[in-house]
Order: sequence, then structure tokens, then C-alpha cells
Amino acid sequence: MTPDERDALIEASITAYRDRDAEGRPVPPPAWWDLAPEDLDRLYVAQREARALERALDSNGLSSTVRAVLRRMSGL
Amino acid sequence: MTVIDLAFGRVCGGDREAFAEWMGRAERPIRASLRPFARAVDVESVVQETLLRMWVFAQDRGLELTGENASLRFAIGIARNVARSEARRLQRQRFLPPEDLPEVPVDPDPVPDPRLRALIRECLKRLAGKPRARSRRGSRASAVSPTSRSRRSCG
Repeated sequence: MTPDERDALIEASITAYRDRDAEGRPVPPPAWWDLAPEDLDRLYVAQREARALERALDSNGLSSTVRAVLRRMSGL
Repeated sequence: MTVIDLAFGRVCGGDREAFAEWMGRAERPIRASLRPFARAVDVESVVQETLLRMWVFAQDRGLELTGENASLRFAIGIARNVARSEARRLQRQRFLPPEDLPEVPVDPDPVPDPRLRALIRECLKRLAGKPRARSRRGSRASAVSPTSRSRRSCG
């Protein structure tokens, strides 16, 4: 895998959007499965940085993770 | 009693706004506690599942929690259990950290900082071309389905 291909997979996995399985649990995005263990460490860091930026930009200090959970709660 | 405890007390009474505030403070420490699980599970899924379980728990038995930052400590315990169970479900136990891994405490997040927000916005304005478009797209739509995103951009 080239560094560009790896970065594209990381980029595709950073999002807080998650599909749900039949029991309603969030499932990893398809790109996540193609990442090597050391790339999953990179993804962890990239996600942490993305959520920090989102929190800092949001007037209520909420990240896309929190907003995704609030959306899911409205379906409970 | 800490700010996060006060917010969680309101969550136990079914206050969704208080839960948003509680999540805003708890998300970072919960995510930090999952660092050793990053190779075994999709950390984003585990964080979301943990937060949702905390809402359900708060409505049922939340008032049983006592002690400073009790709700945060409890949530971190849930997060680690969810991560271990998810790793087993995904057949990725070989990437799990040892059971007796020590906890590294992370304080709850402080309130949002308007000055920091203004500074970041100023930095984003100075970005040109693709990096700017990407950062704006990312902060607006990262919790939205990729399908609905592409539908919107084609419409």
C-alpha cells in the first residue's frame, strides 16, 4: 500500500458517521478493515485531533461524535 | 462535587441538554482511555456506544454513582468493557492490551474557549484551496452519512 492509499483509508475512517448492524450497534467503516495495526495508531491520533478541532470550533464545545450520539438518541 | 457531576445529576432526570454538556466534557477522557485499544477496535464506534449506554444507565441507575467524577470513571470502565467485547466479536483479541493495564487519568474537558475558536477560524480563513475546503467540509459534515453527503453535493 502506498502512503497516499494509506492516507486515503485513514481519511475515510476519521468521520464520526457509523453504519449500524442489525442490533443497532455502530460498525467500523469498510476502510478501517484495510488499515495495518500501525496505521490504526495513526487513525487514533488523527481522530483525536479532528474531534479537538471540532470542539474548539463549536460554540457549545461539541464534536461530531457527540452530535452523532444525540442524533441516535432521538431514535430511541 | 465537580461540574461534570452536576451535569450528570441533571442527566439522571432526563435532561438531554445536560447530557450534551456532559458528553462535551467526557468524550476526550473516554477516548484517551481507549488509546491502548486502537489496534483492536474501531475507537469511534466504542466511544459512541459508551456515550449512548451512559444515557440509558443514567435514566435507570445513574443516581447510584457517588464520589468525585464518578460518572466519568464509570464511563471509562464501560468503554473498556465495550472495547474488549467488541474485539472478541471482531476476532481481534490478539491486539488487546493486558487486562491489568493501569488507568491514566485524564481530566474532564473545560468549557469551550471563544478566543481559541476565533483563532482557529482566523487560521482556517488563511488556508487556501483544497486544505481549506477539506477542513470546512470536515468540521461541518463528519457525522453525516457519506451517502447523504454525496447526494447533497450532486443536488
